[in-house]
Amino acid sequence: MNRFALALAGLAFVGVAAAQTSPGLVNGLRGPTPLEDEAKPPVFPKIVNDDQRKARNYPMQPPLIPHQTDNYQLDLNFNKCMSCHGRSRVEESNAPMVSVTHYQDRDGNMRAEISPRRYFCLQCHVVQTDAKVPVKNSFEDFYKVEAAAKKGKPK
Amino acid sequence: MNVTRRDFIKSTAVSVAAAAAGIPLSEAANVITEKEAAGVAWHKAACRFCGTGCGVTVAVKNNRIIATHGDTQAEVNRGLNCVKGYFLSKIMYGDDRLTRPLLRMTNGKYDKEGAFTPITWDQAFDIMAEKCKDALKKGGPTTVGMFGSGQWTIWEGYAANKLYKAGFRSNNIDPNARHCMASAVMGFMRTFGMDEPMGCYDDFEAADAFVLWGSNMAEMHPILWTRVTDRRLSYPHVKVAVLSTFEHRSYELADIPIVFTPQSDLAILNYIANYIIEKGMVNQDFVSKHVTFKRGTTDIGYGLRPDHPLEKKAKNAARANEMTPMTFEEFKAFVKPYNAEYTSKLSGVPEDRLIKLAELYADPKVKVVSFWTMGFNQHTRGVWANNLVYNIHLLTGKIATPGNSPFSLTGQPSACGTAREVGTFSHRLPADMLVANPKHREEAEKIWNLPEGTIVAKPGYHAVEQNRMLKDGKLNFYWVQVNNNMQAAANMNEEGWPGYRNPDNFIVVSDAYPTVTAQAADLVLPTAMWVEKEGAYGNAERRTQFWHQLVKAPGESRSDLWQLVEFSKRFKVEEVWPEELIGKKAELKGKTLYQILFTNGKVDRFKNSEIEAGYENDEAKAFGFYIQKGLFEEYAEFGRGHGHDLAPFDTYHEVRGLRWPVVNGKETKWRYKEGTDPYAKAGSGWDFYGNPDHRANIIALPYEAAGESPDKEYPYWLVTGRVLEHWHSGSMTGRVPELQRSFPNAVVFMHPDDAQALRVRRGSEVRVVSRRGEIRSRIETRGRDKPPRGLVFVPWFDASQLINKVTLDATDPISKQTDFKKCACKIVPVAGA
Amino acid sequence: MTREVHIASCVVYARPEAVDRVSRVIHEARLAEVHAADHRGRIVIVLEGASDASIVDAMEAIRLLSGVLAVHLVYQHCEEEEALQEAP
Repeated sequence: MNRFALALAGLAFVGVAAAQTSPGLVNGLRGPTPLEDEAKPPVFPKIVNDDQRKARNYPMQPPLIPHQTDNYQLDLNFNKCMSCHGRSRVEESNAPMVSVTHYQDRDGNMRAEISPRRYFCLQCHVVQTDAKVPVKNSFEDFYKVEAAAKKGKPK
Repeated sequence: MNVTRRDFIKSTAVSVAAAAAGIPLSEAANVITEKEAAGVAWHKAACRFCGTGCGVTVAVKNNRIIATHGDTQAEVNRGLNCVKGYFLSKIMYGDDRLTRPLLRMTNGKYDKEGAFTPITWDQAFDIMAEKCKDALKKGGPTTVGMFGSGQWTIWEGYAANKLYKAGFRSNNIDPNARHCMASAVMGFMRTFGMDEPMGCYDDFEAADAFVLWGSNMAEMHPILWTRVTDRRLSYPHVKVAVLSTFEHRSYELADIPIVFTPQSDLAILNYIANYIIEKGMVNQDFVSKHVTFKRGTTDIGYGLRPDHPLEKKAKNAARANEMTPMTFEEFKAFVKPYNAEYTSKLSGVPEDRLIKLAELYADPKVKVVSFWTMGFNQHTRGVWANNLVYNIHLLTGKIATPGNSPFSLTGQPSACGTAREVGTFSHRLPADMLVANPKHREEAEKIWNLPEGTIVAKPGYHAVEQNRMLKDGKLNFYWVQVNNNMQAAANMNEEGWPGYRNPDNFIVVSDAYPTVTAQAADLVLPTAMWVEKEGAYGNAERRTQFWHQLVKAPGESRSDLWQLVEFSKRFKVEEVWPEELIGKKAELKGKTLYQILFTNGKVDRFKNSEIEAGYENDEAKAFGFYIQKGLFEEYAEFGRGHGHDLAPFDTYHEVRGLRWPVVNGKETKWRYKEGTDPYAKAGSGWDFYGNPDHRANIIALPYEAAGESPDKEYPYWLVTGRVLEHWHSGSMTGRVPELQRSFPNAVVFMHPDDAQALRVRRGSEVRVVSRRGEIRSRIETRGRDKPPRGLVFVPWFDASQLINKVTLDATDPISKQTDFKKCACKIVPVAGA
Repeated sequence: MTREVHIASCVVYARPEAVDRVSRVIHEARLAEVHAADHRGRIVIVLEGASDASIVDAMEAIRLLSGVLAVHLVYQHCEEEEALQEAP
């Protein structure tokens, strides 16, 4: 079987079918591939690993993780994240200390150690890849909304 | 005044603290100054995503959401959110929000093969009404249908249910909760005669052991997981057992980790029952007073099309839900074959681990919470799995007391509130009532003030059947709201896609975004979402929660509620009901469905002046009455006095939710238990009043094989599911860049040895192929999910990798819920990739 | 690296009769900004400091004031000084 010819045939099919699936309606998450067909998946993106803290959208947003967490042990016995971000470790690691809110338990009492309800860091803090964002987002934070209001921009 | 970011952060800090202290903002003088400077108002709402039902506070400025925060006053989450919840503020602002109705047209006319073209709402309702009336005229009420959702707000689901079951007289309305909770519902109904959990989240802080049966709470119910984690790490005696067909993040907390062969959970559950009996640990007093033993029907098929060989072979597919009485001795003999040796062989789980697990249930001193979600429910024997876990809680009397709790978790924010309690299933009416029951129909017709015989007795098409009937041309007018079923339903290639594109059918999809389902539709309606409308959800612990409309929807977007009610104006009763039925209530003559269903003197009895000051309500403004309140109060009539009591409408705007039944202003934490449930009779101890004999059923059910298992040609089990960062089909989370970038595409999680045997590596491109279809993806041998050999896990959030082309639409024959966790596939490396 | 600013809010629980005095002391000793108080004994305060430790120290100092029953942290945020000064 000639693989090259097959690939060409596949491409031609994509071209024709794309016009048929949903002309006039673009789903960025799907991309241009018609629903009857399946596209070549993008290669794995890289995990952003520059240790640069990202600006937050609003004060209570959990900071994103600016580094890889592959093979971090995070289980019943050990929490690798706290070995850098824990209260007693930050001086040495130069990593930001977890917020003091994390020392508060469900009933609002301060504890010496991180509250067990906050133990699994990755439930709120996630890494970022360098993948392309298929659909942009026009969320505006406090500044932008405030600035727009001052300019009298219609909302 | 020059406001800096510091001011905003401080004002946030103050308002959150003032709220936590319960100091009204009017008393907090300085807060007002700060607030006015920043112009930011905070309001309560329920999270838009899963069934946990976290409370959030939402900051609004100039008709924009500018921040969200976990609500410190919400009992469910006490200030915490998961990563999705923290990004709620962005879900409405994807750049491709739909803002105008779009119809497929060629040369200015509707054309099934045409291009999506903007039209007005008037034009949209014109073509919808035309197609709906055509179908009704040609084929009668069974040719029109609707697919809704556990993401509808309570009144939206109620309005849709009423429009279809009473207005169009079609029971072909079903929610996507069919894919999610139907097995749990039937499990509850068969064991207790009444839907939904007896316990509540307070059980978490009282339990000594947690057992996860096919539930990856760490990713799917993260905030409930924080409560389990809190309990486990704070009290060293607490044990956590995690069972699944592959290792996932919840195993990080497991004291007893168990990976079992797919489908063998049925055997493990029976093994535990057998262990309890053999060790003499049955709670004889409880069992003798509160339990009835029943034998279930076996060999019930796999819910496939009737001409499928497996269905033809099944002896009892037609009477799958029947049960006959049996004695305790007979039950004992029934479970006897499920000993450690047999069960270990079948499940691949070492005997000592099975014993450790069984001991948690058997030990009378250990209070156990069992959790399950899709591992049980998406199962061709899902109803059985639900019944079998109740069996072990009932044998030991570990039920309906703090910490003793068989706890069915839900996937959608209002799977309980809207799909189940409102009864938007094709066989149900509100408050657990059934269309097939003449008394129930009579009760509904009475509340709705409709002539006798309006509601049709025959259950309608359920979710999976709807796609089959679309394909067969028997369902011709079809409306989909708040869900993405082309991506979500199994076997897209053979059923869903040909069904939607069948030239006989007209498909309407209401959504906020262009989803895969919208792409497959003929008419797309732009839809308001979440806090763009006043709403109510009911979570997994029976908690009903309200929010106000906080911002306006973009462009011409309208809520599902407005769409449903506005559409009803297009129908004169003579166009939809037979003359004979109208004759029974002459005053209905000449009226529209809108008049009969929505301005019936009940739904329209509350004035717009009753809307809380300071809040918009676009639907109330459009119709001229407080429609949400009217619908809710009419709906609440179904349940009040029948164990489903809801509080008055206005109460829910004040509180952080209440768990029904709410009797004399008090919510109910543990049902069926004297002292905590006002419906349990004095002196009863426990009272399972859902069943006529006031007893719960222990049901004897065996292990039976899966519908499709791996073989030589298709050697892998395919399991599908979710990931933490995305919710369901990703139509909202995929449009939040931070969430999308954290998990951009689906992958094939595979055991490294399997990968090596196939000569592929992490990142290699492969085709995932079944007898029904295929996708292209990439191999992942590291990361959060660790399948055993012979099994792959593929998440389904990714619209660019539609894994439901590969899955099988086999269902539980009793619940009609699809098994998304078991079918056979092969993995084919793509050369040079 | 620029200076970090930590902002936190707390609810101070004081004896009802001590609310006025405690509020005044917190304000005058510059331990925190007092934003609201009620007759039941609850005081809403906002703390600002250069580190987590300074926040914790201030909370501890307030906790030790006579008439104070408890100090509950509600909210905490950390950001770089530069970003905070930005005007909208």
